Amino acid sequence: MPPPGAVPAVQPPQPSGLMPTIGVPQNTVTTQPMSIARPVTPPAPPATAKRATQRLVVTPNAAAKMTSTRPLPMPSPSAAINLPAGMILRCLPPEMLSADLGEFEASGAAATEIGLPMNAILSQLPSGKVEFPVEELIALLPPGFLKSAEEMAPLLGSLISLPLMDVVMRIPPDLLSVRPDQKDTNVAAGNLTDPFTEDTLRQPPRQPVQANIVDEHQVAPAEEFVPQVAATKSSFIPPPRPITPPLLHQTASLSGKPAMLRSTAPMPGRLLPPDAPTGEVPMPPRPPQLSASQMLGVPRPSMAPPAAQAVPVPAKAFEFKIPAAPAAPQIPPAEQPVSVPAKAFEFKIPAAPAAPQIPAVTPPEPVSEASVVAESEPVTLPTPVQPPAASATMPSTAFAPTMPLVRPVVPTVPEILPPAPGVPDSNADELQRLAALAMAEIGEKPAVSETHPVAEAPPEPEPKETVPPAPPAIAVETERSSLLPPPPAKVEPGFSATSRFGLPESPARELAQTTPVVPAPSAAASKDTGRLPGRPELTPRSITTRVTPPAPAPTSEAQPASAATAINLNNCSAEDLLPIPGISRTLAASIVQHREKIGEFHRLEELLDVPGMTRAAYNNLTGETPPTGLHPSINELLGFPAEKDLSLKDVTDRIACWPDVTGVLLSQKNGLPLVGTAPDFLDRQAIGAFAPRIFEDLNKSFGEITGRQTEELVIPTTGTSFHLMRDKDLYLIILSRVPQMPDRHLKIARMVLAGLSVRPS
Amino acid sequence: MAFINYSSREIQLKIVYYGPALCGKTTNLITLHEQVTHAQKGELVSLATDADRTLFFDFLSLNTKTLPGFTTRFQLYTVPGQSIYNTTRQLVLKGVDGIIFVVDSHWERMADNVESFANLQENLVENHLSLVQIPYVLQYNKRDIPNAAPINYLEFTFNNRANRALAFEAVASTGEGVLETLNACARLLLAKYSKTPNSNVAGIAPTASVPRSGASMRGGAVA
Repeated sequence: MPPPGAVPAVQPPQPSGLMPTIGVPQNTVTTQPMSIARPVTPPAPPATAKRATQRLVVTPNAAAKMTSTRPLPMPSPSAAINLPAGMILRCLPPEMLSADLGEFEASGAAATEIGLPMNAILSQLPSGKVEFPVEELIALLPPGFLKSAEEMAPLLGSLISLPLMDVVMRIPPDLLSVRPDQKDTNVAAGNLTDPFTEDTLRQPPRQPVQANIVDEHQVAPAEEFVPQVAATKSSFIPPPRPITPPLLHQTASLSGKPAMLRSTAPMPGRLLPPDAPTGEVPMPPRPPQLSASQMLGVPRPSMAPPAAQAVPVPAKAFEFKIPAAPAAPQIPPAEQPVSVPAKAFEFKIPAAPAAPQIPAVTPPEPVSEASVVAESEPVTLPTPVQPPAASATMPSTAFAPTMPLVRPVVPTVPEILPPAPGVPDSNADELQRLAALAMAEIGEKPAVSETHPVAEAPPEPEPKETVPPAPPAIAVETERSSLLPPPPAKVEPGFSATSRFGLPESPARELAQTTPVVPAPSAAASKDTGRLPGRPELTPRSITTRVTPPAPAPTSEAQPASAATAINLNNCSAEDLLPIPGISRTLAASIVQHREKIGEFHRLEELLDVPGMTRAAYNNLTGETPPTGLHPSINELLGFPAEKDLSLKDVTDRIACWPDVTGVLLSQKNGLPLVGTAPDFLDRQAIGAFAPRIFEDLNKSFGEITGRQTEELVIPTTGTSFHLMRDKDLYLIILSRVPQMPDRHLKIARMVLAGLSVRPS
Repeated sequence: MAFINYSSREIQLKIVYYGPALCGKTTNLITLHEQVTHAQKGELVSLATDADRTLFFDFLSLNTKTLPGFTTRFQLYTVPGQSIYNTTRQLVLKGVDGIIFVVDSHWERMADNVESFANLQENLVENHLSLVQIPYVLQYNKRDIPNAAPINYLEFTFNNRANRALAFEAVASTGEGVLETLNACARLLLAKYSKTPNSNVAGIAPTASVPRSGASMRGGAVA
């Protein structure tokens, strides 16, 4: 240990090991063990790849005694630190060197030591760097390796930073000691116990309360619906649940007898051959496109008289004469006209009043139709329709395939059984009308089956139906359209006229089936959905409009449904929008262009962002009143008079008057603050720039976790809490003294921001 | 300043990890979050950028039962070390009770360390505070690197003030010295608020001091 006092010139212990960069292997340790002035300090071991952290204990008395008895070492004014010339030369800019560094080091002049004043270095050590002017360094360097003074003139006056490590390693350790008059103010803290001890670290985590939570694998799987017959006989496979088209409600409400058809019709079922695989439910083949006449005249293959093994009805009981009675579902070719003579459906009944004796008939243990109806269709049927003529002469179970008792999987196909001659078919007209509706929807003329037995049936009074008034020109098509009376409450959605008859779906229908449910904007529909009438919450790809040309009053019952056409704003073309009154070609093109720009419409209000969109056009397009902008809702929220024209500053000033609010700032997405105030100790520009960034970064991670985006963020701090809100490109930052502002204030702020974000018309 | 909730018998103390960029402040909190048992800690909140740089601050809450009758909750914050976030650092320093200054032991980062230490003092002045009032602890981090600056130089540079501060060597990535640093700062705070009749913490009577265990000062300064 060097004696205390001035050290004129210190030779580095290992000069060769202190060369910092060039020629030093990567694993060479250049940090030299330092002998620290304090006696209790152990010498630092040579630095290795990893050193153990040591906590050195210095008792206050020893430290005080040590520092008080020893004077602070001061270097003499003439003391210097010798540094290699090569090290200094490497610190100079390359523009100042006239020779290559390698050549310089090879010459041996690099090892020449140059003395730098100790006082100048010690005074710079607390700054973490040692710098010297270029002039001082080049005066000490050997000549021949630097350019001329004229060439180095532009660089003169700059400071050259020397490698701190090499400088510090050459400083005597005594000169790096701390001041001796330091006060130790940590004695009181030394008498306290550690708040976080090893014991607390080893403390096992608290066992969670044994809640009544059962793991998923411990739970018995929920009883899945298994059709009873399918489970026993392996022959019944329920057809797939059809997609719910909203047209059902319209059609049902138009017909007035929606439930009758389904509840009284024979239950569907697909009878498979016994050797059919039962493990999976095969999807029924998609029927080819058939005309309504074909579909009406021919029994549906799935409900055609089944094979003998499926329905063991004695042949003597009755016989069908069907041209093609396929055992497997087969659809007659569309090109081949199918005409089934009426007498082909005649039954041969030996004894009319007496029930047929059916020996050795083993029905496939069906669920009785009555029970099915009672459980699956609780609707009270006005006119129960039985399978005509067959119910009296044959067991009802013969043609009633057993069906599940679960409501969703009980589809009904009403038109399967052909009506018997001479028996009034109460739903024949209904079927025909529905077929007409379906055909009208797809743009075909309803065809009347030539062989329909309705001609032989006695006339039946046509039920009076109240045709709803013609809908407005344009309305948003919804799940329950406001243009039509609400459907019966118990009607099971899922069947439309087209789906009943197996007709091909019209484009509008396909759209309605593939698009999510659109809430109703009207008051009637919103009453059902519980939403505010003015703010339908729409999902993507569900923005549809319904265009009805200003046609005269409908001449038939099928007219109202056929007149309306749904237009999906998210995939329509500009030409599709042209029939809408008030939509010009330019505006239609603008809508399409704006949609391509933003991807798709998510809310109806986004139409207001379309360039050229006016309130009238918005009303024509959506049937809604455009949402109000800045006035008067914000006035009402913030307590301003309704007639007052508000500025953004009025808004922020009013919010700033709320209790515990210390600042309010409105900023944009680009980080520029619009208006607002902030406390003096906060930078308003920084807060405005901070809000978009934190939302961007937070939502990036938040979206990965939850798949959602957050629009609000509260950062509670001890002093000032940050309440950040975002709506589109507008950010509202409220600084509050309390960690959490009251909910009512946050709600108002949220609504105000939403009002500000909506472009005022 | 300490926040005392008499109804819930809770004392909240705010400790801020300060230091230059990439010196290991967030790593300290992450290590603490891993070391401390679940019953004592809250969730580690870290708002970082894609490059794991602290955007706003990190936050970790640790609970102890040191003071009788009170649950002491240490709220640990870090600041963004990058120089452009000085406003954020000022904001985080507001209401601070204790500071742990993390020093990067890289030679190349010495200037940044010194600049950050000066920035700390400036920001404390902005909050009407100073290092004389606020207990602080030095942590010489990254002691496992081969070219770590010697301790005597670090002490000479950062602990050469009138009042000697507690200093600890640490390797935050492995957890060495992390808990000792926090314990030292926590003990400083507890000692301050249990004995000082400070108006800010008037709720703690001097008689409610921590029972003396007779333990020696274990977190002594690094020589």
